[in-house]
Amino acid sequence: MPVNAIVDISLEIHKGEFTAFMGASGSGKSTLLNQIALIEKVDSGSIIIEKKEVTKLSEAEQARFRLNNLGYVFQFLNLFEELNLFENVCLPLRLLGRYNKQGKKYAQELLGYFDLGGERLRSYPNELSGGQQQKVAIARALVKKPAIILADEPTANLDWNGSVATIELLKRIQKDFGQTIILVTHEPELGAMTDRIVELRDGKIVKDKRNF
Amino acid sequence: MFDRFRAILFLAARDASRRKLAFLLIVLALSFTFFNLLVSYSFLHGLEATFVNGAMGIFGNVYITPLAGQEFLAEDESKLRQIFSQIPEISSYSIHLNMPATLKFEGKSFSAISMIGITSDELSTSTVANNLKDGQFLSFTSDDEIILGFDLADALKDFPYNMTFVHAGNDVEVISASGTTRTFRIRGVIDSKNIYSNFSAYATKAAVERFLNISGKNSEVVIRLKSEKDTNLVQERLKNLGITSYIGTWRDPSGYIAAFVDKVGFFFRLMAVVSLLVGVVVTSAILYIHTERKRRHIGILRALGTSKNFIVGLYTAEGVALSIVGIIVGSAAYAIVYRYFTLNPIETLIGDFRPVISLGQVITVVAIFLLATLIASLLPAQSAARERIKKILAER
Repeated sequence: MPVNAIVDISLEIHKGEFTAFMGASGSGKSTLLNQIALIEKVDSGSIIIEKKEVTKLSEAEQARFRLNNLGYVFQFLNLFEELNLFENVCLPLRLLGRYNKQGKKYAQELLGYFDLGGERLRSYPNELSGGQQQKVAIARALVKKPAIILADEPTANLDWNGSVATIELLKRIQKDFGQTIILVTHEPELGAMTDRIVELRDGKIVKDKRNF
Repeated sequence: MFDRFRAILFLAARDASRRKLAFLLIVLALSFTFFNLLVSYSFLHGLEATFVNGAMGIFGNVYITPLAGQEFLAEDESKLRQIFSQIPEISSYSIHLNMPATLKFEGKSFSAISMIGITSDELSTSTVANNLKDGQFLSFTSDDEIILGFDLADALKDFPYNMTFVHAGNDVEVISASGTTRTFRIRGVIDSKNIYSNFSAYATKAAVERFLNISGKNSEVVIRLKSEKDTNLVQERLKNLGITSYIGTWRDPSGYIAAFVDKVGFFFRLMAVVSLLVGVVVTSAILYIHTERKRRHIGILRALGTSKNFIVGLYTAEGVALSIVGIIVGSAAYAIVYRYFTLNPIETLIGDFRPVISLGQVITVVAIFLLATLIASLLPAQSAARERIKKILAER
């Protein structure tokens, strides 16, 4: 018998908002995030991002939209081990054809913003701490100036201090870049650091609360 | 699209540079697999060719003999030459007059398979003169010279196969079936790796005519064609132009070789196919594992925003590119081996063995190898591209 991961969800997220999807395991929070990220299929309904209805796009068009407009931070970092820090961050630029002087300069500036500039540009992921690798992953998501950054449990592999530092970094990005961010977390204290918490249970939104 | 293609090439190059040993091992494995395919194919064909070429070297492509019950050919020499001149597919021919003969040397007698009377046409038709073991071939200026096949020369000296044989410069008595005896000077000893030839003696046709006290008679004709493919055509033409004698091929006097080649040839071809299959399976396994290892990369790239088709196309291309490098390295190694054994053939009892492979066969092996690599890369790339991105990325 098929199980609906999310049901009857109607949600609007504004530009520049930092929203957390929260809920217990199996609540549908990651599914909702992945559907917005066009990684998981939507069986019914529509998703509109920057006035564009994206659910009706073909697979190739969705991939292209994802490449151009969405930045994804994975639960398990997922950096390329054979690329150094700078090369990992620049990968979306290569895919977009923006790996030029300007693109490289922006990437370097971003990494400086994350305190990962200078000599560390040539470091490889296995030479960095968990927190530093997470910063690289966020920088990679941010480098293409996406409409939305979607982060699926980005603190799952970090200790508490690292987790808090990551959320604070995302908040700083939101403020400094006006970036729209959607975060999935199961930690209430981390969710409380965002602007808005959307709580899901059994695939439905049970609470939608602003934190200020 | 080009930008993403460059991105994947960049990733592949960085992967190769960071994992030099793995990359080298993959290329070496593919190279050796391809090399082995070429070696198996060419050495098996070479073995078959050694058998066949040895026989064709003595009996030509087309071989004319008397009909059953006849001692000589129905056609005389001028008629034969007139007919042969009308067939452009014929490269050369040699008309023989043969007689049974017993040879005697220092009190020891041995019966040859035949004493074959030849003319200088033999030099351009058969390979008999190419395999001198001792002395020189007939000069065709004297009717007192004789060439002995190696096994015959060996049998006339002490015990057979004891590495001693009658050498050039010695005189040997030849006794015909009617008891006529003549002394010949051994001008040379040949080793053509063919039992018929090695147990025969060669003299000028005029010498045999004098011995038999006949003229204008012929026992057989060895015909060399420009292309073996024309054998059936030439046989038909000879018949239509009036040859009533038996028009056969090298298979007729080489019954044992022909039977061996037919039966063993099937086995050789089967081995070549098995070798090819083993090569294909090994190649597939190597590339399957290599591409399977890229699942995570594929998942990351898809999450970053590349389409399934692009991922499949490019990782398949990576597999094929690795195979092309393997083909180049394997071919270079094979070229060295091929050249060495072509210049330094392995001497065997049945002839000089050299690897044999045509350009068409190389192209076939390359095509099959590339097809195998294409499939071996395509399947795991497609599998990963079709999987849910989240599932791949969740794999640790």
